[in-house]
Amino acid sequence: MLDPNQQFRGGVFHSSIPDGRIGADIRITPSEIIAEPSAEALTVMDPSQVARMPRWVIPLSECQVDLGGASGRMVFCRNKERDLTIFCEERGFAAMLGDRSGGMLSEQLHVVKKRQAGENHRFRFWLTVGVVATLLFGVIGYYSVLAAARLAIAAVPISMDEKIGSMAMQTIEKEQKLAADHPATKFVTEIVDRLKPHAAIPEMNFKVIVIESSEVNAFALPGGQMVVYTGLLKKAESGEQVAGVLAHEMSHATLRHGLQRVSQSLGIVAAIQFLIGDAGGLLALGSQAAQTSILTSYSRQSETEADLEGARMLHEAGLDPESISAFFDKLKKEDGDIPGVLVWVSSHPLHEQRIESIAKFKSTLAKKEYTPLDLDLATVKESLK
Amino acid sequence: MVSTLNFEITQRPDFSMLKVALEAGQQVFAEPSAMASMSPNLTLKAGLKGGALKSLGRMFGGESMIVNTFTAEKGPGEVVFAPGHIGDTQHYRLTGGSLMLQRGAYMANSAGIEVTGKWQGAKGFFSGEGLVLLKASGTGDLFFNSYGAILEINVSDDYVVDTGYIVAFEDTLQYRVRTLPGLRGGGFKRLFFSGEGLVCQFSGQGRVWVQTRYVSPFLSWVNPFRPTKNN
Repeated sequence: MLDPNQQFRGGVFHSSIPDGRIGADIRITPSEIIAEPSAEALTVMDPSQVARMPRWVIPLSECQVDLGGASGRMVFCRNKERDLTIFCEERGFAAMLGDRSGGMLSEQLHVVKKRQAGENHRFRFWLTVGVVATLLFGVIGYYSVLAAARLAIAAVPISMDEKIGSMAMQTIEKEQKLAADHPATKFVTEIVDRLKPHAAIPEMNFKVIVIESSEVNAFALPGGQMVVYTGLLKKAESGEQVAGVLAHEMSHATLRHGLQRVSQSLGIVAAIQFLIGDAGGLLALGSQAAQTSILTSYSRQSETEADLEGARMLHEAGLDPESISAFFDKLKKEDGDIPGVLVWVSSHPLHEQRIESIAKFKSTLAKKEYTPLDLDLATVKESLK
Repeated sequence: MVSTLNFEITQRPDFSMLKVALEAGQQVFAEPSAMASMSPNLTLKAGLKGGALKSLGRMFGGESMIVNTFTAEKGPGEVVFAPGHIGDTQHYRLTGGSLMLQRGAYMANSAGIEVTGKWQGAKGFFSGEGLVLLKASGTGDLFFNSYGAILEINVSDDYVVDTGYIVAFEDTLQYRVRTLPGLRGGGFKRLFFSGEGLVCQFSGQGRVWVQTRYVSPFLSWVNPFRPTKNN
C-alpha cells in the first residue's frame, strides 16, 4: 500500500534559486505536489539565501509529467507556465503520482514511455544497420587493398626492392658476420650461384652473408640480399637441405613478397587514414614497415608460393625439390619440442600440408635425374666449431 | 556530515590548481597523486573509499580504486591539488542530486559525497565515453577537471555535444547517442568523411560542462613529430 505521508527526495528547478536548482523533499497531497528545500541542501547554502527559500507547489490538476535524466527513469513534473519543475528519481514516486491524480498522470507517463521506447527502437535499428555496413565496408576494403597491392607491385621497378632491402640490411646486427673467404660463406655462395640462373627474375642481384648465431634461421630481403645463420648450417645434414632453404628464401625475393607486405600494410593504413582524414601516423608506419621483421614474415599463402617456386628452381638446377621438405622434416622430428630453436620452421605453414604440396608439385614435373651437390658440408661444420 | 569547503581555484584555465583551506577536523578526499603541496599538520590516509564494489566502479570509470583522505586533525591547514594534465578545474555543489562525470574527470570532493561508476552499456560503447561513467552523488563540494578550459552550458531543451568533449553533466539531463542530425538522410558519405559521426544529444533541463580541447585529435596532431625508434 502507498503511504500517503511518504516523502521523496528529489529536486526543483526555478529561476529564483541560485544556480537554478536545489535538492528538495517532495510530498504529494491529494491535490498538490509540494517541494521544500532539503535540510542538507540548506546547510551548504549561504544563510542569507536560506531565508528566501520558499516551498514550491504544483497543483496535480495542471501538472505535466515527463521522463528523462541520465538514468532515463527520472520523473519531471512541470506547472502550466513551465517555469517550475519538480523532479524525483525515487521508486514509488510515479506510482504515487498516478494514485493521487486518479490515474490521470500515470496515463501521461505511459504515453511518454511509449514514445521514448519507439525512439530507442528506431535508433537501435539504424545503429545495427550502420555497424553491419561499416564491417562489410571494412572487410571488402581490406581484401581490395591486398589485391590492389599485389597488382601494383608489378609496376614497381626492381631497384625499389633493392633500396628497401638495403635499408633493412642496415638494421641487422652484422658484428658476427663471417668473412667472404670463410668456408661457410663460400659454401652458401656456391649454392646460390648454382640456383641463380633459374630464378624467376634473372637480373636480381643475389648476395648472401653468413652470421654466427645459434639461431636456426635464414631469410631473404627484398632485392635479393640474404642472411644465413650458422645455427642452420650446423643443423643441416646435406648441402641439398641448405639449398632447399635457400631456394625457398630466394623465391620470396623473386616473388617480391617483402614489397607486397609493405605495400599491403601501407595500403591498409592509407585507406583508413583516407576515411578518417588524418595522415599523421602514415609516416611513422612507413619507417616501421622498413624494419626487417615485417619484411621477412609472410602470410601462409606467400609461404606456399615460395615453397613451390623454390621447388621449381631446385628442379631446374638439377636438385631434388623435396630437399625443402627434408630439412624442416628433420628439424621437426629432432627438436620439435624445443621452442625457440626452430625459428625458421615455426614461422612457416603447417608441416604436413607443406610436405604434401611439395610432393604433389614434384609429381607434375618432368622426370629427371638429380645430380647431388659437389660440396663438403662436413668441412664447413668443422670450421664453425 | 555535511560541510562546505573553503577553496580557491587559481592559475585558470590552463594550469589550474585547487587550494582548499580546511578547518580543524574537516576532511577532503582526492584522487591519488593530485596533491601538490600541503600544511604539515594534515594527515593523509589512503584507502578504498565506499567499499570494494564502489571502488571497482570507480576503477571502471577510469579512476583509481584508491582515494586519498586529507584530515585536519591537528588544527586548520591547507592543501593544494593539481590535475594530471593541462586544463581547468571546476567546482560543483551537490545538493542531493548527482553529477555524471566523464572517465578520469574526477579530482576531489568534500565529505558527504560518494563517487562511483555507473554502467552505460551499449550507449557508453558507442558514445566513446567508455562503458562506465563516474557518478557523484550526495551533498557537498565536488571538483572535476578538464583537458583545456571548461565551458558551462545551460541546456533547457536539446543540445548536441561531440562525445570527446563532454566533461560532466547533471543527472536531470537525458543523453542519447545519435548520428549528427545533419547526417540523417545525407548518407554514409558524410558519416565517413566529415569526421563527425556519433554525438551525444542531451535533452531536458540541466547543465553540461564541455572542455575546449579533446585529447585524441591532439595526439594525432603530435604523432608525426614523434621520433620513431630505430635500432
